[in-house]
Amino acid sequence: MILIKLAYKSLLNRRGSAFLTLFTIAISVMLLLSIERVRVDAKSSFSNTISGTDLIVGARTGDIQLLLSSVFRIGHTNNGVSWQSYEYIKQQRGVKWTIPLSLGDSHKGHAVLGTSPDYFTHYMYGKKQTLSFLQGSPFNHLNDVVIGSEIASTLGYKVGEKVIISHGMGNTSFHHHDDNPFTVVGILNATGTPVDKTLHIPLAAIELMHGGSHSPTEHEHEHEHEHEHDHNAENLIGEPTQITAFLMGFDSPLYTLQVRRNINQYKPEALLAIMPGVTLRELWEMLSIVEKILLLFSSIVVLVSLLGMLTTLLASLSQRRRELAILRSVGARPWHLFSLISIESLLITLLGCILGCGLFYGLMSVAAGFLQSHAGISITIAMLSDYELGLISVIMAAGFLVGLIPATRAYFYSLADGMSIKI
Amino acid sequence: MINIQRLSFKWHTQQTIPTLTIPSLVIEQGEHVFLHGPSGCGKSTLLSLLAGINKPSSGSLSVLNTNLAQLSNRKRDAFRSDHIGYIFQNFNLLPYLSPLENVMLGCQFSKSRQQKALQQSSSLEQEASRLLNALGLATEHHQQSVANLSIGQQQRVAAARAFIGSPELIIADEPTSALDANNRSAFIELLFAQANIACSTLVFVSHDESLQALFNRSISLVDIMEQAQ
Amino acid sequence: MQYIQKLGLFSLVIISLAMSFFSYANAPKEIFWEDLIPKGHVQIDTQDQASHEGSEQNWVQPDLDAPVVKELDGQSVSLPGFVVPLEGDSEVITEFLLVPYFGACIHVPPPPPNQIVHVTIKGGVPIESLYDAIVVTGIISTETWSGDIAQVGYKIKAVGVAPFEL
Repeated sequence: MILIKLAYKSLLNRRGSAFLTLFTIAISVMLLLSIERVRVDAKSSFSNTISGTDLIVGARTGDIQLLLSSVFRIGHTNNGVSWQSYEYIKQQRGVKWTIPLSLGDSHKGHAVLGTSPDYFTHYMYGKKQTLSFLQGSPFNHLNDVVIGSEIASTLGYKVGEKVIISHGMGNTSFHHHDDNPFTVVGILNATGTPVDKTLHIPLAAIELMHGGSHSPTEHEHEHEHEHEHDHNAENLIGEPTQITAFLMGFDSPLYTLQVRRNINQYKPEALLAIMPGVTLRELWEMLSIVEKILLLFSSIVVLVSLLGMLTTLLASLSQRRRELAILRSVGARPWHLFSLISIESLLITLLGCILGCGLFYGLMSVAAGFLQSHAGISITIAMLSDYELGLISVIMAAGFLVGLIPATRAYFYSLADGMSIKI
Repeated sequence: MINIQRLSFKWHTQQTIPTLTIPSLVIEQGEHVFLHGPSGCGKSTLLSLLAGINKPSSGSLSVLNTNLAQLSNRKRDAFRSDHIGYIFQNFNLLPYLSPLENVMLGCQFSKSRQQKALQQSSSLEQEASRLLNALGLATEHHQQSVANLSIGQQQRVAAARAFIGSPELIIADEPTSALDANNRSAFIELLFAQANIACSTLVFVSHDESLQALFNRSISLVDIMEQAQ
Repeated sequence: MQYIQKLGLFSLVIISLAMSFFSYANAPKEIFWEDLIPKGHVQIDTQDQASHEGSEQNWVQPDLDAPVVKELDGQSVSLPGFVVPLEGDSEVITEFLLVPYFGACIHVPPPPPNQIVHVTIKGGVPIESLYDAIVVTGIISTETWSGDIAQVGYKIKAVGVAPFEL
């Protein structure tokens, strides 16, 4: 249509200022989309970290703190669960499986988790997916270690390599357990969860690291060789005085509520049992105000850029009265001119949005690696989601509404000026 | 084709003396009329009424047997775009369109004019090109930037735009004022030629009385208005 | 002609009766929490009746005496209650427990097993607030699962979840 062609050519003529306006809009769109994508993906990553687990049990700290420290490796617990309590609880009616967890050690800044072999058969993430091995197998001996996929790629470890585990959570430590090098026996497939950044060793190995300096081989020879297989499994778990937390699964979820209450009322020790799904929701509720503020701020940035477009269009309008008069003389009606300015604002907004999406994808591609390794958030470089497309439509609508102001002004100019050309 | 009777126009209703009073003015189809008068006598006002931009306060103003005094704003706009071609004194052209595109603009707001143009050539571009050539602008300039054309060349483009789609009435408002003397008469002759081909009526407004000789009919606006007193 | 017309009208009546019967049969039966307890069974408060196994540890065994109403098995029902989420992602909940009162709160003793329903819903459902009651519609089943001892409980395969209007 002639109006679209005129709008396009007119903007092209003023491409300096048109591009600046467009670019401002693009930046604000990039900002809005990026913030929303990271927010949504972070939430999704977190939600996907644990699945198929009925209860998480730890010392009585706080719900969210227990969830974050045991599953997400964020923060730490100062206290744990005594072995006695763990043994008592795990043999209660209805308990199908348990996985003990011992955290607190690290290797080159990455978390070390002491656990039982059940971890590899019962730990679930995403939609009830169990862990799978890229290479190798679960641990069989006390000084075996299974590493997550990120560990393998960042530290370049391969199956068979020897690693030293240090005490404490820092990046370096002066407490190296040099007498106990571990052997990598398995590398897990990527999960997009903190599992990828964790080194997994047998629970008993943690105790040995801290308690005795018995070498594993010495320890083995002390026992009879009658029940080789049981004895090996027993060996891997050991009998620590305390574990950080443990995960539980029941025969049926109908047991969950009662067992949770029992653990929370447990007399011999101050314990806390949480249902991961429930506690995650509490976490989201806590964060929802932050989410809303983020959205508000990025929306304001978009609004500011649209107001910039308004300013540019209004300013140019007074210089374009001659142009409007010429158009009137060739037969354009006032509403044609209204539409012309309106189309210009729509074009600028549309091109700004398109460029903004391009910048958004560029930014996400660049930032994805950083976000994955430093925050454990996996960004999906996928097509725009429905929600994001919705955001873009709102921006387009806002651009259209903003454009109505100079369009109306043009309408009244053209009525007033007629064909008299005001220079 | 133009029939004005007892026309009176006031800018504001509170005015005691109307800005324009014309008891009678008749212009036939195909005439080339030189309409002159000193600055400020109301030439522009009369043109704005003829073009349908403003509405007469009283009286009748018929163009092509249509009384513009009785049409609504929208209808007058439509009428202008369908039947009238307008040439300004200067700054006629849109700077962001090529000369060819500027010419095409003349009939792109009116279906009937567009159709008439397409009867002359197979496409609008071709028709615009043909008219530009007829008005003395060589083909190599058709796609040039408008800013690179001389004033004379720009006016030719403006004229072509007024003529495309063969509107019945061409109004030229001081179109030669910015041209130098040499080019003036040549330009006017081109206008006549085109008007004749299209059987259009040409109303040429100017304060330059030296051009009068070129026209076969000359109207003094002051004389007409004095008749009213 | 007349005979065929009569036959046509007759079959039309039969078909519409059958359809209304089926739709009636398939309309979910509105049930409430009392309906999940067999008639005549006296439900004892689990907390009072704390079995004395491990009273030192304050452990209350899940109620063994919580029978189900077998007749409900396979029926299409709708039941109001509160949600305790089990599985899902950041957008939707795919598996949850339905309880008669706001159950996420840990201060209140939980209901016995025949007053809890394990609900699964394909595709999940977004649930805004756990404080609001909802109505679950779907096929209820009485399942037996084996662990230490064979136990029974209710499951609903939900087709719809709607806010509960008083």
